[in-house]
Order: sequence, then C-alpha cells, then structure tokens
Amino acid sequence: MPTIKLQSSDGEVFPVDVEIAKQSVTIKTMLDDLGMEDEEEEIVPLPNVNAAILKKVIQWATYHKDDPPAPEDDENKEKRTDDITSWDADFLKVDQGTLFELILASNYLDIKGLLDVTCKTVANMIKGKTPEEIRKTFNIKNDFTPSEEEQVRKENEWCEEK
Amino acid sequence: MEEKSNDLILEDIEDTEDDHLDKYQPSIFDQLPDEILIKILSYVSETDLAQKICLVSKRFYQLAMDASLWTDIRLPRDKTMEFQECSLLLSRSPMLQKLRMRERSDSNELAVLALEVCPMMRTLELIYCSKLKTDFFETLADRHSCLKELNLWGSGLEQHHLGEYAFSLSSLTRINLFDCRGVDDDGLVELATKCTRIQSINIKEITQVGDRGVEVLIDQQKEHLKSLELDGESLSAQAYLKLRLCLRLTVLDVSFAENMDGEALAAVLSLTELKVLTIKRGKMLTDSDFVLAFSTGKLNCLTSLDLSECSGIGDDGLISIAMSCSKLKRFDLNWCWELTDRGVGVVVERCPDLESLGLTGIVKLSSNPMVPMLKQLPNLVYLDLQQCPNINDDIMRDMVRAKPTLTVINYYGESFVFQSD
Repeated sequence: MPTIKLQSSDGEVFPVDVEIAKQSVTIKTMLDDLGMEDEEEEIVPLPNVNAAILKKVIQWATYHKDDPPAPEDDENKEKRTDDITSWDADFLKVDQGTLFELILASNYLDIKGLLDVTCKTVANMIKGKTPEEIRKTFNIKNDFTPSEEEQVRKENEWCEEK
Repeated sequence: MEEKSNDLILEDIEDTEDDHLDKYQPSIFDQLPDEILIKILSYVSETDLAQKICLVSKRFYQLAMDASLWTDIRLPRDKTMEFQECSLLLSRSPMLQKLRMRERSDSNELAVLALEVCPMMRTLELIYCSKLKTDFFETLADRHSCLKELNLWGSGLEQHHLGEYAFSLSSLTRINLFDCRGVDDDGLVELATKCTRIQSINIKEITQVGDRGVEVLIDQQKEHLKSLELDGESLSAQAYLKLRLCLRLTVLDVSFAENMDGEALAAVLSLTELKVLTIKRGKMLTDSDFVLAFSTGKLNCLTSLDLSECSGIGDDGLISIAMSCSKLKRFDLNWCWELTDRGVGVVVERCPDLESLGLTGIVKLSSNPMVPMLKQLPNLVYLDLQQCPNINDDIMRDMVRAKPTLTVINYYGESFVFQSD
C-alpha cells in the first residue's frame, strides 16, 4: 500500500498509509489537487499539528480506517452523546489540553468522525453541571456583573425540564 | 462513558482549584473558535443552554443564543410562561424544527406564530391543548410548510376543518389523533385521500371512526403505512382482513379487538415485517385460532407482543407463539387466565431474549416456571406477577437477590427490587 510522509509542526516525520491519511479531507484535497499520490518521497507539512497530537490522530485514523463514511448531518439529528464507542472513550481519556488540541487538529485536518467524538466528549463534560461547576472545570472567568447575571437568569427561567 | 468523563473532570477541578483563586489563567476554551464551541453546544439540550450555559460567561451567553442551536423547544404550561414570552422565544428561533407544548390554552395562536416565523418546522406536538382553529389551517396552507409530524393527543379540531383543509396537511407523514375531538370517518377519509404518504397514524380513542374510515385509510396508504394504532370497538371482522394489504407495517396496535376473529388474526399474522404487535381484548379469539394462525404465520421480526385480555388463548396457542416468535423481548399476557405452567414454561424455554414479561392475573400459574427464568432469560429486567395467587413473595425475593437487575411485581402490585445488605 502506498504511503505518504506527514511532518508535524515540530519537524517529526510520520510515514502513513495513503488510505488512512485520506480520512483527513484536508490531506485528501491536497493530494488530489497536487497530484502527489505517486511521489513516494513527498513530505506533507502540517504546521498546525505537533508530533504528540499528530501521533494520536494517526492512531485514531488507523483504528477507524475501515469505517463507513460518516453520514451527513441529518436535519433531524438528536442531541445524542451516549453513542461514543468504548474504544473512542478509552482513546479520549486524556488531559483537557490534549482533548482540546485534538479538537483543533481534527478541525484543521477536517476529520469529521474525530471532530464529532471529541466535541461530544466535551459536551459530556458540560452536561449535568451548574454554571459555576462549568466555569471551574474549564477555568472560565465569570465576566457578568451581578445585575447582568440576574437579567440573563430572568430571561430564561421559563425553561421546563425535559 | 458518563463515568469516565466524570473522572476526568474531577481531576481537572483538583488541578486548577488553587490557581483559580489566586490568579486568572486563560481558559482552554479561549483557543477554540466560535464555530467549534457552537458545535460542542449543539450536543447540549435547549433546557441546559437556557438554564446553565447562558450563565457561564458573556461569550457562552452569546453563543448559546445562536439560532442554529434552538431546534427543539418544549413550552411549559400556561402559568409558567405567558404568551408574550413564548412568542419572543419563537421569534428568536428561526431554525426551530420541533415545537412541543402541553396543556396550553393559547396553543393555536402559538402554533400559527411558529408556522410563520419558523419555516423549517417539521414536528408540532400539542398535547391536551385547546382546539385548533381555522387560522392554523389557513396558515399551514399559505406557508407550504414542510411539516411532517403533527401530534394532537387529547387536543381537538372542528369537524369541518378536516373536510375543508385536509389538503393543507398533505405533507404529513406522521399523525397522532389520539382522543382528538372532532375527528370522524369523513375526516379520516379526507386525510387518507389528501395526504401523499402517511407512515404512521394513531386513531385511538376516537369513537366516531369505524370500518369506512379505516378501510379508506388502508386502501389509500397501504404502501406507506409502517405504524397503525387504532381501536377495534367499532370495527367489524371484515375491516381487519384489509390489513393484509399493508405489507410494510412494522407496528400494529389494536385495542378493544372485540370483533376480531380467527380469519382476521390470520390476516394480521401474514404481515411478516411486524416488529410490534398489540391485540388487546380479542375476546372472540379461541385457543385454536392462535394455534392455527401462529403455526402458519412467519413473524420472525416480532420483538414485542401484547395479547392482554385475549382470554381465549390457552397453552397450545401460547406454545405455537413461543415456537414461532423466538426473538420476543417484550411479551404481555395479562389476564389470559386459561394459561398454565405448561404454556408459560415453553415461553421461558423458547424466547431467550425476553426483557419484560407481563403475567398479571394468570391465576393458575405456580412458581414452577419462575426458577428456570433466572438461567434461561439472562436479559429479563421486568416480571409482572400481579394477581397471581399461587406465587409467594419469598420466591420473588430470591429471584431479585439472584438477579439484581430484575424488578418483580407481586400479587398486590408492589415491586421487589434488589437491596444490598
């Protein structure tokens, strides 16, 4: 199977099967546009992804190489986050910094499956928490004045439990 | 998954606790562009967006208000939220797809407004609300809406509306008219002829619907119908024979099937795609009707079967069912009082996927079939033994002790669940 070489922002080079790398729409487009497919020695620079994260991304893409293409977002999609497979859940048992870097990398590389599952994981970290717990978990500063906060609270007090 | 993510969070809180008080560190969210944060929030419910996310910070507030996140809104009852507030909310939710409300007297006005300001609305659910009025149907007709699903459970409409405006409902594929005042045979006929593709319809608790409405419904929609829920009270045995034509039916629910006979049952069982079948109060059906129908029927897909109050069924009929429906997950035989240990024993043996078994009022049942259940039915979580006088509580207690995921309901309707010592 043909391979290509992916170079991380810190200069490390990873040889990867072309088919695995093509789960990234960004890389796929690059290869298609530039006709780089047959040139074995070509190195694809990925200036936005460091080696540690690129390694994780390749690990994910290798495991998921035989997945059917991700379905387009259905208009009627339910807000489900309980459908993360156990492999993905284990894979994403990482510190917050790594998780957020994976989100940024999968967004830059345009890997829908990885972006979906990482965003769902963060959504799960938000669900069931009070606003203060959310702030603490993610180190977010409350920049509302007390009266602004009261105003927002009032605006939304109608909402019924589902 | 839930637990895992919790672990992660707990660690994080500990890590950041001290810093949090001393000095402000930039949040990891600061690096994420709005579009990604909105994607993350798209997995959070509208309720959480309103009650929690909004209050986190100004940026979260601003993003949580993004119209793309407000696709599914459930309005509270009249008193908790005035019409004015509801209409403001609808006006800032132009991408709404699903609007649900219950017990509201201004439901018609809100539904009209939603049709006007939310062009993508596909599902409208008005449960125990006031009657729909003419302007609802007029707006629906004007807007060429893409409404697919209308649920009017316990609400109602004027009789003449279905006559005059059924065409405005032609895009509907799922219709629920349970206990809906103002619907009769004529209305159902209009609906069945004007709608292009009804996949699912519930016409239970409507006394004015009989053979004519149901027969036209089946004739017009037989190629589309996947789910049909109705009452058999005013249906003749003849009407059931037509069901044979609905080859795509996966859900059939007939309550009060008092006039269903053996031939009608055989017609129902010719529907090989059925996954969920309910025939309640089929009092005319005899044990041999069940033997005959199920020994020829091929209901390989059936996962849920409810024959409550079909009191004519006996052990032979039940054994035929157990032999031909081995994939059942849910089986209700409440008040089928001719059944004994022999029939129920075969069910336990032949239906290993059972998760829920309803045996209320099977008075001849003893505890003999209970013991093998623990081994034979590994997925069983619910066992209803109300009004079964020969099974004592000790056995039930032993069962839940041996199988902590199981709930057993005793003679008096009390539940036994596992309690650790």
